[in-house]
Amino acid sequence: MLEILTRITEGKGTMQDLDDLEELSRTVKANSLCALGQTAANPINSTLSHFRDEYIAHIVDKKCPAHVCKNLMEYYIDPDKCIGCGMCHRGCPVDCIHKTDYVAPGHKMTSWKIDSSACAKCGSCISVCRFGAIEQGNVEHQNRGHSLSGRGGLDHPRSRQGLRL
Amino acid sequence: MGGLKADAVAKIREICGRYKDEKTPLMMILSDIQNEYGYIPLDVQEIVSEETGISVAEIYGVVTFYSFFSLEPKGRFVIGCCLGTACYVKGAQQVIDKFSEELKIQPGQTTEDGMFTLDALRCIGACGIAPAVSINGKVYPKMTVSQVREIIAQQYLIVEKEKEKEGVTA
Amino acid sequence: MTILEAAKACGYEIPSLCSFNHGECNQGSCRVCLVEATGARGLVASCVYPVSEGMEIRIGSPAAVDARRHSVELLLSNHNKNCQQCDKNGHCELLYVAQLTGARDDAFAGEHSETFIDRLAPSLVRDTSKCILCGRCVERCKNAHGLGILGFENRGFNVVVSPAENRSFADSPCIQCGQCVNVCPTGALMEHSEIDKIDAAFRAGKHVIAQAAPAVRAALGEEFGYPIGTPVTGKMAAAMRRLGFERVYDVNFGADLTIMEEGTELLKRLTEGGVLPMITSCSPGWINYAEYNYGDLLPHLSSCKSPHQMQGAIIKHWWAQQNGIDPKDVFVVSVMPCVAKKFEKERDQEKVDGIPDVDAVITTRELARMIRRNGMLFRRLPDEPWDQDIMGDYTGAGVIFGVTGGVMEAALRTVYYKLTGKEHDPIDLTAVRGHEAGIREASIDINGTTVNVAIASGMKSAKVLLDEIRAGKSKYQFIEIMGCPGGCINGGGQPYVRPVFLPDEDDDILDTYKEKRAKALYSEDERQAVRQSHNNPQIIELYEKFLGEPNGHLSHKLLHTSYAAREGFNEVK
Repeated sequence: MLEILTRITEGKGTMQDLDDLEELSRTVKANSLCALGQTAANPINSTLSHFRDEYIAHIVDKKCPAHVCKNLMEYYIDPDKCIGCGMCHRGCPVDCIHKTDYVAPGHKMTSWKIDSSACAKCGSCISVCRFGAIEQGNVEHQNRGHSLSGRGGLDHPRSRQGLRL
Repeated sequence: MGGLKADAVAKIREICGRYKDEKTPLMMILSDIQNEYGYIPLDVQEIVSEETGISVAEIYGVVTFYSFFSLEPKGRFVIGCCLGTACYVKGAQQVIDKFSEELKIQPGQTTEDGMFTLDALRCIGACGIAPAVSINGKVYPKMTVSQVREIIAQQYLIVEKEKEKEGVTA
Repeated sequence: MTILEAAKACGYEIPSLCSFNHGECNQGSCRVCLVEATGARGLVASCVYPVSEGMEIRIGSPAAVDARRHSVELLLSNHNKNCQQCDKNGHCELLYVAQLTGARDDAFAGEHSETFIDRLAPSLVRDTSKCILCGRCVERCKNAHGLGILGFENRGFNVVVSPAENRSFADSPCIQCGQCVNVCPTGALMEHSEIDKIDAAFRAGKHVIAQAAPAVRAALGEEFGYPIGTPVTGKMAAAMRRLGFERVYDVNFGADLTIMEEGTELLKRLTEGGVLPMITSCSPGWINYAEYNYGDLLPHLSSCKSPHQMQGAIIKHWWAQQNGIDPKDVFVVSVMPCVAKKFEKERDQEKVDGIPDVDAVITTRELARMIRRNGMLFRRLPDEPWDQDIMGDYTGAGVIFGVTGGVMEAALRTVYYKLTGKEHDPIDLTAVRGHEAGIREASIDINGTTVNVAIASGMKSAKVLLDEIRAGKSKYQFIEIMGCPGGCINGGGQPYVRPVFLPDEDDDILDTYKEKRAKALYSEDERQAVRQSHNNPQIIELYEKFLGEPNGHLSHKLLHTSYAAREGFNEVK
């Protein structure tokens, strides 16, 4: 169960994982020898039924609504807002912010870009940027160029009604 | 069985003898030995096995199952950081990480000078004062990362004071 | 009565794993035998849950079927699934139960626990990647011997079944008897295979001689579908010959030789005031126990080697000489019901002039593997005799060595004769026979002197006798101790007795198999023309032409050994 949850928080979860989690939780509860085993799956059961939408957000949208899962966070510099001052680059502890050759209309210097594969998600860049050019978003940010705000709800087409145990 | 001093062997036999009328004396014997010596190595387990008739493998299994029993000597100060639910959401992970950084050991290990052992605990029932840290049974409430260094220094002071007292009375 | 037993009586077999031998190894921990029962909250483990009047039990309900399947899938998720390479394939209860419950492949795939392989002990191999933590071995070692070498260590995902400190068997007071191997449902505990040693010896062009113990013939047939207790001596000799061994001898000859030496030794102690009681020394599991736990009582042990070691020594230093062969080119293979003998043959005390008496020991199970590997259809083999040049002729006394009480009876037949000049009548000394656990005792009147004897198998019983000796309260002159409960017929190397794989046997086979195997040996004893070791013509000739006399100088050099107290939990380097 821990391994499946870890994978989900790393953005590698699938809807099959939710089915597996439920099956495993049912098995652990029904088959265990002692009460510790029978209740071990309780946190999973209760969170699955009350916060199912967050599970689905992690799996389908690859987004962590609570902004806790590091792997699902991306820091993104809007190239049109960035004036190229380089404060973020100077503050970055892992040196993952590099110059591009894009000059936004109305700006003089080229804007910066975060290499998300090297990004440590520490948040220093966001805290020093005085122009609000850096945002936190989900994984597909960089690819789509805009943030997805979709949060799968209980009426999400790909969600299932949780099994009450 | 080498290595054990004669008076230690005698003491362990005496501890075993305290519970000879109990049907299941093992936990009490091990508890007394843990309190007396701080750890229960294989040599000691062999003596308990001789006295109680319980196999060494079974005794070893009990010692490794319960986190209260230790195979290796613990430090002078056992720092237990509670990582139960309430403490965790109040930042206990950061507290234990800071202790780990300051003492240069991982949870479960003991510092080389034998002063500190760092343990990660499950809920100790002090949720109202989370995050809680227990050092040799004394509970420090509402720990923060910034207090960690100070707390460590306090333990060293305790040892200093003890040495002074001994120096005065000797 | 448990639900499992009640179901069996009504004609239902509920899949189960950790339950073994009704009650001896019953943990209720594997969670495979789950069923629905009225009055219980949720599913129950049928191997431990007792039946009650009016109880309704649902074995085939969807919930129970699913639950059993899930339990097996979870066991498989942390299991080494390389069944092709595993020698337990064909007898593996986990594989059987997986098929029975319809376990899906990789249902709960995930991380595997750290695994350990212990190959340091010559007799046993422990591979935790195949362990399902059923605890049968833990219970067996406690019940058969009161030793409890194995235990559960750590907690949760890190649990491992091992000796204390996850040591090797070689670094703990394990007596390497293999009872744990006999009960393990998977390949986690196996004997250390030596078939490749034999292959290498053949390739190197050595003179490879094979010899088989009495208890093997009583059980080998089971590996080929014969009912338990069918003696298959003739086919066994034929099979071994076809495996390419230059000679195939019967260790019963060595057993007769042992009686000559040990009987003489006992007589000497009885008449010249030696250390009494004398204790037999043919069981290396028992010797290990004595050296680890009763180092002060070692002088009580007979100094005789065990039969196969004696015979190996005779092969290398007499047979080889008679055939003009250098002993170094002779490779002796012992086929044994035993795994402790794999350890015994490696001891320095079992070598003469630096040459080991025996080079390889294989179990009954390994012999069956070799027979199958060579394509032989065992049941179609003709009955053939053993080779009998120089050695191999044996008496009924030698045959019964394989059963608890057998060594005692064989020795008494000869001792009686030596002291009275007459054969004991009746030849069978049934007072020393029996299969129940515990200690048997008997008194024999020899020419007005009463000789008190005791017989024990399994270390739990042996301990009682030994503590009596230590306290100076023993009333016996001669004691037989066997490492395995029931004697060699129940040795650690004998075919697995799994009711699940024996559909033609009775339901109580686990209670009766020892008796059946013992009967095979006693019946062969009755069929022999000669029934006392001292009347074996080849033995008489061996002493005349080579050894001189029992306990003489040459006998001592070749046929006797020594013992030394050992530390159980030694320093691990």
